[in-house]
Amino acid sequence: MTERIFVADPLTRVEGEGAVHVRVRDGRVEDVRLRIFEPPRFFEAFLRGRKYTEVPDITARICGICPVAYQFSSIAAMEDACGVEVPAPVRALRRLLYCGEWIESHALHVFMLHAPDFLQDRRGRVVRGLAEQAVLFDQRLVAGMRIPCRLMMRCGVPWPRRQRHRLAGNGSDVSPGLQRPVVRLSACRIGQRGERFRHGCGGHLAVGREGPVARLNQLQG
Amino acid sequence: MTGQHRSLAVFKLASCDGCQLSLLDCEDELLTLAGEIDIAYFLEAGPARLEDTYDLAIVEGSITTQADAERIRDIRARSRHLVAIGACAVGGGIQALRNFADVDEFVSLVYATPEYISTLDRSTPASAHVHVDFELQGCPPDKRQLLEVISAFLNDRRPAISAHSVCVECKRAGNVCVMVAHGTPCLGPVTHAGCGALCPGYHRGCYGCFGPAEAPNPESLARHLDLAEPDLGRLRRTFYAGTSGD
Repeated sequence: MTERIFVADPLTRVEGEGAVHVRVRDGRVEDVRLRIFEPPRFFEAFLRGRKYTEVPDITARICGICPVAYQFSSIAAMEDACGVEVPAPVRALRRLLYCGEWIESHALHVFMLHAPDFLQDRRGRVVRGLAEQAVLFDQRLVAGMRIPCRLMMRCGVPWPRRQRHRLAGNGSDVSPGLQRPVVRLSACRIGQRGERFRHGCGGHLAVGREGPVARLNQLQG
Repeated sequence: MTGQHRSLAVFKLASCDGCQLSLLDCEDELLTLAGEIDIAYFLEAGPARLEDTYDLAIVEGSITTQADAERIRDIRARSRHLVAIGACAVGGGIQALRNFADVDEFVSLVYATPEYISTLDRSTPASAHVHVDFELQGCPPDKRQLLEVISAFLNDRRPAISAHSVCVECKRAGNVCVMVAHGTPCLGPVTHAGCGALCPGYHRGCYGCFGPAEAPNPESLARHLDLAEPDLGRLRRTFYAGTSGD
């Protein structure tokens, strides 16, 4: 009878603090304990009494890695409570912003956090792979993904009130603040990079021909 | 840089990880930085070498538990220089709103089994517990300022971080003042610079996530904006509430 204990304390490369403890006996997992020692912050409690316009900026601080998800959750909750239905272009814009966070988060996860671990003992193979597919895992590729993401994040900052109503119209009517990032997105040739990115990662990331990047390009017309 | 590899440790207390992410967001500069320093402890990125001494410790997050109160003292003891980054480590963070409420009520409101929760009744900045060599504001801090702070401490000099308001950054960027031109309420005149006037640059009023500028005059701004309680109180109590005297 053999018993093995696996302990990861603390867990790394995740948002928040925790530890995991696994006991294996004769090849069978007998006990798994996840300990979370992330201190509580009580967002649900201190949001009470705040003005609704302040809420998305506060919920964005729940997680520094995925703030947009929390902004949108709070906005969806408030719209639901008030019975508000937003027009389709606004929904599309939100989707765009969310996809930006998604791409950024995946790039961070793969290139900065996990890939170095998975690949550290396979340097020779990685170098050969890089020679065959020259641009893959190029730092400039990561930067190339992140710059448009940053611009999309900026897109989420509200534009002047007087120009909001124009959003319901056709694409040529969008405000200058909205046009600028989209134009610069085009200059970044994100579509090409997205293709390479998808190819290099075995298709795990939905940024290829059918993914959000392609839809971004369609939006650009 | 001196050429000799100095050690850097990044710690997280009660926070959202966003400040540490500002370091990973340095991208190209991060490669240079990683070549110049030994990143010994940075759980978000992977390294977890708990050592007796670090040349520079960066702390994100506020102190909200007894364990973290002990931890910040331990971090101080291990570190030649200690730098607090972000609204939580500098000003208690958004979670310092508990300081004006009954924390037991908060616990029972949010958690189904309050007996599992261990927390202090106040959220406090690192400087309330130990000596802090420098505080870098921002929620999250600006990565260029963060690089400047790291570079300065590794070279034994004072960081060149201006304490002026967001208004200066707006003027430098050539932004039209959202308050004067559009009547949009803006906290820029009392808020610490560092963001590059991000919100006013997109025609939105500053909401103060970089905390107070040097010698702010919020009373004057409130009169200008015709703000009264409770709106004024909420504006003053958002990201840096742990430092306010009231």
